Parts: sequence; C-alpha cells; structure tokens
Amino acid sequence: MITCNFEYYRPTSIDQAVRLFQHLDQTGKKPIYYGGGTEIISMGRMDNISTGSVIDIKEIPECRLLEIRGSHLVIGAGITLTQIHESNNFPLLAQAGARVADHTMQNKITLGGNLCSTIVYREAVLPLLLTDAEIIVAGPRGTRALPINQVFDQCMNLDKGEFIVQVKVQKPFLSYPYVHVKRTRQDKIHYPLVTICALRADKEIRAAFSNVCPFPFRSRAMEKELNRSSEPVGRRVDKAINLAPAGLPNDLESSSAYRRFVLKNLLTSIVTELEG
Amino acid sequence: MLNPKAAKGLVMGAMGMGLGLGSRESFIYSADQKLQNTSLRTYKVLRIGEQPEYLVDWVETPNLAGPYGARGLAEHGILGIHAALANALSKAAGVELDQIPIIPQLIWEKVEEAKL
Repeated sequence: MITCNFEYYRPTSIDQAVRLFQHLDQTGKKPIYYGGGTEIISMGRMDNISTGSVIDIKEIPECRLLEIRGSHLVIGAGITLTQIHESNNFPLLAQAGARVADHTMQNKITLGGNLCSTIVYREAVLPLLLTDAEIIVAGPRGTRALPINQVFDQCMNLDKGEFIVQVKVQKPFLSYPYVHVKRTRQDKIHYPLVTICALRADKEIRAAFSNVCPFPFRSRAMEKELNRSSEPVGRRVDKAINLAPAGLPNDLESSSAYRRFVLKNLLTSIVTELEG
Repeated sequence: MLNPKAAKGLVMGAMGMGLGLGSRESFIYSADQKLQNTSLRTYKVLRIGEQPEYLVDWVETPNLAGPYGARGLAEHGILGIHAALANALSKAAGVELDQIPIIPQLIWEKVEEAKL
C-alpha cells in the first residue's frame, strides 16, 4: 500500500507540464515528474518517498516520439524500454534496456525514468554517453538541448522543475560495432555486478560502465589507455581499470577484488572483439 | 504410492528449493548484524526460467507401520541437492566447495586460495 495521498496529473503539452510543476510547487504539493512509475510506486510502498502530486509526462506528444527525424534518431522520454527494444532502431540501447530489471518492468520503465532514476545503476545512460547524445530538457527556462556528457555527471543534473523531453542520437552512431555485457552476482535478472557498453567509433573504442563505481560513467582517461594499440591488451586493461574515477565498490553484488577480476576479463574480450 | 503426481510434484519442488539454497539463497548481514537483503529484489530465489529438467523416480520400500504401507515424503527432495551441486561444481573447478550458496565469486575465491 502507498501510504501518502497524492494528486495525479497528465498534461498534454510541455508548457502545461512546466506550469503545473511551478503551480504545484508553490502550493506545497512537492510535485515529481512521472514516467513509468515503477520507482515511485515501489518506493512509495516502502515509505521511502512522499509527494503531494505527480505529473505524468507520457501524454505529451514530444515525449512519445520514437523515429528517425532527419539526421537523428529521436526517442521521447516517455518511451518504454520494451518499445526501444522492439523497434531496435538503436541496438545497443535496445540491449542495455532489455537487461534492466525484468520484462514486466521494462514494459513500464521509460527512458526518461531510467536516466533520472534514484537507483544508482541507470544502465540506459551508458549507450547515450558513448554516442554523444543530445538531451532535450524543458523547464521554467524554456526548452534546452544539452550534450549528455555535460548534463550527466554521476547522475542527471537538471534544474528544479525541469524534465527530459527527448533524447537525440546522430544516425551514424546507430550502426557502429558495439558490445553490451552485463554480469550479476548469480541470476540473469538482477542488479549489475558490472555492466559495460562499448562501441567502436572512428577506430577508437569507447566504453561506459555501470556499478564499476557507485555511479555510471564514461571515462576519456580509461578509453585512452584501452586504445593504446601498441601495448598488449592485458596491460592496457589493467592500466584502464586503475584509472576508474572511484574505487571499485564492495557491495551486496560482489567484493571489489572479484569485481576487478570480472571487469578485467570482460574488458579484455571486448577490446579484442572490437579491434578484431 | 498413494498419489504419484503429488509425490512427484513435491520432490520436484523440493529439488528446486535445494538448488536455490545451494546456488544463491542466503541472508547477508552488515557488520552490526542488520539484515541487508530484506526483499525478493535482493534475496534471490530461483526463477521459473532458471529451472532445469528434474528427473524423479522411486525406490519403493513399504513402511509396514503405515496405512497401506505408506510413509511421509515431505522434504526428502531437498536433502541431497546442495551436496550434489557442490560435488559437481567442485569437480569442475578442481577445488573443494564446502559451503553454500555457491555463487561464481565463491568459486573464484576458492580457486585463488588454492593457487597460494
């Protein structure tokens, strides 16, 4: 049971949503934007969230797009992981999304919701970091287009009252060679022990990680080491892992030593495959 | 055998439970003894898609003290499964795996220990 009462709004335009947020905020209703609701509902049941109102963005037409427009693939923030997987416009994102939670949840979880999740894994962000995606954000300051590598630093850094409308990815990135791997403590359907997305763009390997550190990231310093093709792969991988932006965590999924072992094996085979 | 289908179902269920206990189920406590995996999100049980094929057969020995020679069945199916799993994985990994649950990290740790 969800113990707090809250109002549910379903605006049909960006403008309405933004104004609604400001109004609800001023009247003390602590509004939150609502995508698939999986996190709000499960946290509500555990009494970990309290809100007076939610604003569902799934009826805003811009948030429902999933199509190629000119030189970009446009994915609305209200599109579910299942829709992304079934359309398969962006195979790397399709695969990453298809390993978030289980299939029933993927039918509900939206792209925008996963990117803004308070659960730290946010695996859908990895393909976007690798493809220099553009994030279209709407809020009191109007609508802005922001490079993902600027707006995402450990988590999505949006201003109060802002929400993600769309994600845009340049077409060429959609067909670059890629690898997605997820390892868990034991079961297929579980939080990641390590998730890696990697892509070869212009002969350079790019790699992004979830739960290698307590936040998802892409590291240029690590990529530089991985691409040092004059050195043996094993040494490159070791050096890259040492450059991770934070220590490898000891958590419920694994010890940091085992995590390093798994990461090293996976990166070695990824680099070998993408260079091969 | 009074109810062969129920008996088979009971043993299959027990074998599944045994596999879960052998391969993943355990309570994890913090240093100050607080339970860490308090929901099915983190306390993992075997999912339907992970069930192997179970072969169940019987050696019937009538229990003369029971009605029609019957005896209770209950948890017989669970008892040997962790040991069977541990034996199989020990043989495959070349190390003694003598604790459960046997997760990949445990196998790796035992293999690393054996190298020392």
